[in-house]
Amino acid sequence: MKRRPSLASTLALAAVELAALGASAQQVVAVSQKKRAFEPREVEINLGDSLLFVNDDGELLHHVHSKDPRFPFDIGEQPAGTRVPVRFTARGTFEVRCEIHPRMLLEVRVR
Amino acid sequence: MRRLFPALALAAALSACAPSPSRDAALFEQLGGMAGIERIVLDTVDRSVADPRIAWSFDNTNHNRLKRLIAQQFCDLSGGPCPRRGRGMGPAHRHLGLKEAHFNALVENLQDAMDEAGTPFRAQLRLLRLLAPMKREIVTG
Repeated sequence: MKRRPSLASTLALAAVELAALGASAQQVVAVSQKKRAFEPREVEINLGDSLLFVNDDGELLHHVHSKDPRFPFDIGEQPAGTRVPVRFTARGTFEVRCEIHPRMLLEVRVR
Repeated sequence: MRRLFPALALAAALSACAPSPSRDAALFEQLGGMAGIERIVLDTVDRSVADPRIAWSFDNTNHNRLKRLIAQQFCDLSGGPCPRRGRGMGPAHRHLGLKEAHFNALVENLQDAMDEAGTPFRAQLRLLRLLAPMKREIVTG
């Protein structure tokens, strides 16, 4: 006789599948740094998504950071030609800037 | 205070700078140590930011960071206890397309700042001599 799975094991399996689905649904959005400006200059992402900061600004060094106490981060000096991902784990609207070029501003809205 | 035109001062420095000048701990002291160097650099950058000939080249630049890096560079070049860092002058300046006149304007501001700080004339020339080889990397326009 074929045994039916218990309700608990079915729910546990569903939870694992949902978690896997959630993980695979996380997006990575590239943000370029060109001519001493972010491109795009505004971006909207979901909680858990990542921004991939791409320094494709010739030979220039950049230094991306956020000083927002809700989600502070600092990727350090980033040489040209490199990419650094940052996963956003807090909701809200955040100002991201370059330490070297003060007019570089990126607004990140995390839903 | 005796004063050379920037181009003349650099020409004199360049003519005297082959092979590459070595670090010279006495110069660090003649510049007033780290405090003296910081004073000179702060004044130089402030003058340059207000100088219509080259103010544009400091646009969208973190002035405090720039002052810190230049002071560390002068400290290192003059034999002070500062670590050598940075990527070279070329990558940091090439996008600006600086011409010789721009470089000379900065040197003039540096000379004014050193005059203001009471830096001995010989020490001024020695520092310019150490800086002169960078002109090849900075002037690309």
